Amino acid sequence: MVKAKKGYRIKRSAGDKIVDVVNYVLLFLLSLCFVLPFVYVISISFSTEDAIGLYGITFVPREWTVEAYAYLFSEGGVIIKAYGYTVLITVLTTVISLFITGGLAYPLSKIDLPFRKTFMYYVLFAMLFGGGMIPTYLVVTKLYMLKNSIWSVILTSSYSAWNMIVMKNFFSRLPHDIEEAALIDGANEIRIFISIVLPLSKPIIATLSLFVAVGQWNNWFGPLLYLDNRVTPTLMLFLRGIISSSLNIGSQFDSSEAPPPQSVQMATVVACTLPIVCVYPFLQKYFASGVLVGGVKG
Amino acid sequence: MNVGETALKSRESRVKTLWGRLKRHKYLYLLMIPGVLWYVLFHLIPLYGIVIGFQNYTLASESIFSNEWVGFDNFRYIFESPDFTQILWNTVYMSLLKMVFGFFAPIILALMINAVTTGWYKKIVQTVSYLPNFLSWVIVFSVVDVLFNNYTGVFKQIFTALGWDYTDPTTSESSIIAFLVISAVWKGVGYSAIIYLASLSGIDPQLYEAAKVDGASRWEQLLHITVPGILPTCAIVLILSVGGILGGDFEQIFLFQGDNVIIRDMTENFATYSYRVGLQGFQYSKTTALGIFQSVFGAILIVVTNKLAGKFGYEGIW
Repeated sequence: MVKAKKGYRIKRSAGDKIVDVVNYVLLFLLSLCFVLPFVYVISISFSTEDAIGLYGITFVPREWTVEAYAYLFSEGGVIIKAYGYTVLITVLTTVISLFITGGLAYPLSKIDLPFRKTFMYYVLFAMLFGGGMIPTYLVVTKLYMLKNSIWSVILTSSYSAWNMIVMKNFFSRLPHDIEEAALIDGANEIRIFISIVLPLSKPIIATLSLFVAVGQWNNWFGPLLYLDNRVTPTLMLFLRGIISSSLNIGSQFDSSEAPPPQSVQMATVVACTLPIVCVYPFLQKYFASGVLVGGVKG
Repeated sequence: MNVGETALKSRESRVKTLWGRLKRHKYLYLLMIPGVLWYVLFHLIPLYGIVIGFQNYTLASESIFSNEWVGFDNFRYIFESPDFTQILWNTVYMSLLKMVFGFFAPIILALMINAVTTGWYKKIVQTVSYLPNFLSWVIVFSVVDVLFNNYTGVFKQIFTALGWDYTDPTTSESSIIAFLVISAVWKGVGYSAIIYLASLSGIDPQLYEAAKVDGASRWEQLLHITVPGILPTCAIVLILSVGGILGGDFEQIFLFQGDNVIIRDMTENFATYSYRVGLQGFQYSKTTALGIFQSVFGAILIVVTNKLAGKFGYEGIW
């Protein structure tokens, strides 16, 4: 009896091993689907155009060069300007978004705040109904006169009700004893918020800042609506410009002296992606919690 | 000391009148000022701006809000236009396709990752599969172009080397829809799998132990423990995704449309149409009317699906 069971077990684990191997191999191939495109991108960005023409695109460049990057970042290069605007927009959006979001989330986490429920109903309503693309565009550009100003992109994306609710839920889970003690000691609620609540909320602040920053870095629609590529370029506008110009009218570069367009394009992709990859380990540390605050029970 | 404390407490508890509570929390209201200001400037005033949909706003108009009232003329025009049925169909069709494929792919990926017992391998696969979610569509589009283009694209080279014909799937009418769905799944699958991985890790390991003792095969364990374990999560994700069916993606669609008119007609959704016809074509009033239609029905869908998801244990974010 025992023997038979043992035998059965061994047989089963042999089958398991095959399933495991197949699973591992499939996941390896799947991972390649996510990684290989970027290997090619990096390879092209360091390749000479002659090598691309001769050998095609290879995993490792046949002829290495940093010409594309040198060209891209040469003095007066548009990408430097685009980098500047993108960093400025991203930093300002993140800071302002924390200011607005935290300022709403903390009071709304207080259950005895008068009109709290009313305001929360309004927040929900606003998540469902907004002006929509056209009215918002007209109000921002015609009424606030923010066309071609980076403030249009910053302000329209510096608040998200979703983030506010996530933060509010975090605040309401904090222990209230210290806050009450400080209140009795005569500290006002702004001081309590700044010197007691905020230091306890570092994880949620880090998570939301990273998400807002990455979202704004990647934002293409906002700059497309409000900004002019020639006046205030952002990285995404610049990248889209450089890719579509080659799609539509062939090369915009003078073929005799300019660096290879394809490698310049891919160098731009690398330059746009690199900051995201740099913050990626931090993102990864936090985002599981960020996704799961939605409240889905397992 | 004791007396003082009691006095303070009773004073606190006496503050029950509305005015008293308002006064007590005056600093909290002060904190809310930037947020309230944001809502007024970027929600309420643009929301009031939907009057444009009932008026005739033109480029020559001096004021946004006070133009000639035309009632529901803009709506009538939009609903009678052949564009309307086309973009409604495009939006719903694309959403449904993304919903179906975007639904099963993360579940399968999560089950596969969950079956991995080697810690470092699991971590690498996860790390790699999440990454595309954090890259913008512009970056993804650029990468796609270099891989698939008809001239120097990687696939062009491979096909040529094998002696096969190659057509760029991103500019061909027969494959663009599939390509849009695949690229969206590629970008989001890893990130969407997180919710299922969390749900999988919530399954009681004792169930598996017990099943093993009873001699259940791996397949049987999957069928009778794992799948029922994540079913509520699957149901909620699916139901909530129905709520977004009218909200087509702008960035992906607009990028891949490029200048191809046939592809544009096949993929134009509410967002890209509003941008192209409304902003670039100055048809502000008509596209505002279209936006109102989309928002009203979109909101109804979201409310209904959220209620429905609540029946499956979704607590919402409240």
